[in-house]
Amino acid sequence: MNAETEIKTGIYLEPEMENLPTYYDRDIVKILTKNPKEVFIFWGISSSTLQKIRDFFGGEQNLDFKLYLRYVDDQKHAHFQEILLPPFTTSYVVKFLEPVHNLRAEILAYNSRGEYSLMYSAHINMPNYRPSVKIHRDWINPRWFQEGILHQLEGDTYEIKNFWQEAYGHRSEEDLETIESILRFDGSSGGYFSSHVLTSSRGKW
Amino acid sequence: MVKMKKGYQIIVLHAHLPYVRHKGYSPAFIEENWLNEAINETYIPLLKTFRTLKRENVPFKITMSFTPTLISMLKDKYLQDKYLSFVEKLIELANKEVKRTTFDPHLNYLSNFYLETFEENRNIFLSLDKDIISGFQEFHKDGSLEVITCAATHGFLPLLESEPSTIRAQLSLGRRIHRNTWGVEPRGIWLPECGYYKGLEKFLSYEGFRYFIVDSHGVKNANPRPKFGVHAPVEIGSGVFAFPRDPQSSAQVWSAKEGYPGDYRYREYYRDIGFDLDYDYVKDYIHPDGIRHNTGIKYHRITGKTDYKEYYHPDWAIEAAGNHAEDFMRSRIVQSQKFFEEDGQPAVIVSPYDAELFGHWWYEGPKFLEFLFKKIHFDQSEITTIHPMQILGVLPRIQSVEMDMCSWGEGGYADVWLNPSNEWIYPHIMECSISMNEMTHLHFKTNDEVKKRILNQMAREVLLLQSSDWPFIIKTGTTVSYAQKRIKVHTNLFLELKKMLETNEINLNRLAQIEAEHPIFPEISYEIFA
Repeated sequence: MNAETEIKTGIYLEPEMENLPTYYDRDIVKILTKNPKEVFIFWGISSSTLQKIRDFFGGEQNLDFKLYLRYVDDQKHAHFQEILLPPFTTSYVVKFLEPVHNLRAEILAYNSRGEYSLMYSAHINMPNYRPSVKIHRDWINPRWFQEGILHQLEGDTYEIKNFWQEAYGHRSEEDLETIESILRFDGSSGGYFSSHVLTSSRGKW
Repeated sequence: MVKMKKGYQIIVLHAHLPYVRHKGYSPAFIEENWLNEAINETYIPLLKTFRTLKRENVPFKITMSFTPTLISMLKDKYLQDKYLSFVEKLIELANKEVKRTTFDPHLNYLSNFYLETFEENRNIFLSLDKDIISGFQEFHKDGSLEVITCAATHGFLPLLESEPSTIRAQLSLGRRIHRNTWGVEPRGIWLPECGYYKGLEKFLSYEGFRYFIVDSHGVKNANPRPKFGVHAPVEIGSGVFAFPRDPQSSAQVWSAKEGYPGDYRYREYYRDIGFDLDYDYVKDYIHPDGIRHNTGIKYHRITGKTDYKEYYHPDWAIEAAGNHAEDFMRSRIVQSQKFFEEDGQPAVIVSPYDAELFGHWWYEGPKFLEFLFKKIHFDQSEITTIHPMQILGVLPRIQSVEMDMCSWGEGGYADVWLNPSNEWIYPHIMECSISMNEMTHLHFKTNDEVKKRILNQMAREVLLLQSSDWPFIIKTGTTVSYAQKRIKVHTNLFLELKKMLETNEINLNRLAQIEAEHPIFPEISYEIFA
């Protein structure tokens, strides 16, 4: 670097430093994990992709978009969720009742003539937030035997008895059959809306 | 043969400040004082504690992380001179106080106490040729102090997971700065905000890191369930070990309600003459814009929960620190004995804290540490202090588990750094991070020295942009406009430099100006973003 003593700093006072770009010409969709039950999803669409969509829809300028989520639950059941996006939305917060796995977000453009998949995110797994029920044979604490809480599975693995009842016993059957997502959109209004309900197959819990 | 202890205490202090160097501004950025206050109230007092222990032949083991941003500032000549001016100004103020307080013997005693403390700090600083790090080297070399590193600019790694080049750059530069500073490779790393995500261990292993500290729930919730809970490290893959935080010892120090620092005898942080005395009297010692701030001269003790505060008595506070050190040690002994009895192996008790808690927030914290190490050495034989990797030679075996994302922030995950107040920053961080990787590949191994300078400065700007401090400040609502400004400046400068490369319209004066604005990590090479 040059000898900085001879150089005038002061960049922090420049008016250009007061603002941030409002648009990046890039196709991007990312899922960021906030906690075991909540993710933040944001996206951006490049000008060339927008042009491709318009061409696909015969030059139509007004386009609608939707966010399509797919994931599996703890019982390895697949789920799909479609969210119609208000205009100018660029991000969403999605809430789940329990952590989900292989969550993928896809952005689609659509109109009455059909839909066009723009891009999708990498898969993410939301973190577990409870002690594991699985215990390896070589690492059994004698206390757990004394407490009579272990149940042997096949192979080297044990499981803690009645874990699911303990963990979910306070929930109603109805609760366990639904996943409620509280969705928030940013963009033009930055407001909230909620209670998108999605049927799930967690009944066996 | 050395008798196995019932408990092994690992004390970890995380020393970190964001990069707050702003040369050439008048009035100066008030945020530069963060470093001055931390040197004066934490780093030099900790050094004094270590020196006292050594002088009195008390063996001790402590682990400290010095983040690359902090090292960069402590080694910076401009900031070293700023601290010297700061402490000299404090000495001037303390002298003025000694004269003013002759009307009250106790206040006069306290002002003399501060005068002596500040003069001693200045003398230590000058004796180290203004290089605090060199003071810690002595303890690093004799094995009392295990120094670990951190991600380069304290980026919260779980939110950067989708950009592997950024993870590699943060870790690789953290390792290099450590090696250049301490002369050895780091064995451990402090993950910023204790932020871990599944898969990070592969990157850690690649850089040669063997261990890190993690919050309790990270290990408690691991799969399979760890046999020893939070009282033993676990191997999480790739030969990397996670050391879980012990909740009990954490609460004894951290807890706002029951924590030791809230004792009525300790110094009150929020009563400072920078706020208490007449403006005209203190105006030369506060911000030139007239903004009042702490000077470091505080005459009151916590006293109670109301605004009523009585005078500070250093001897009472020292007695409290001794009592608390005793209580802390006894609690660890009880904890260890119980664990040893029930689980058949020694307890590993990991107690990590922000270094700046000791001295800056909890004025008597360094004294507490001194007493704790002395008591552990002289007053019992059940527990001892140890460094993290040494524990692998003590425990018969370590369990391997899989761990999920976690952090030590409120809620235990990423909510502090990603919430409605600060989520707007991530599209900018991602855009710059992705662009950095693209531009690195486009100009990889270029021989053009000017392009190298541009790319290196882009790397500095994007790394500074990724610092977890900005979303944290925005969330906590402290110096929000400053944090927002930092996001804007680093983003805009990154994009401006990128444009120079793309258009080949290179403004050398502007480049030099940007380099002078953020001259962090002189040794950086943009190729870490490949």
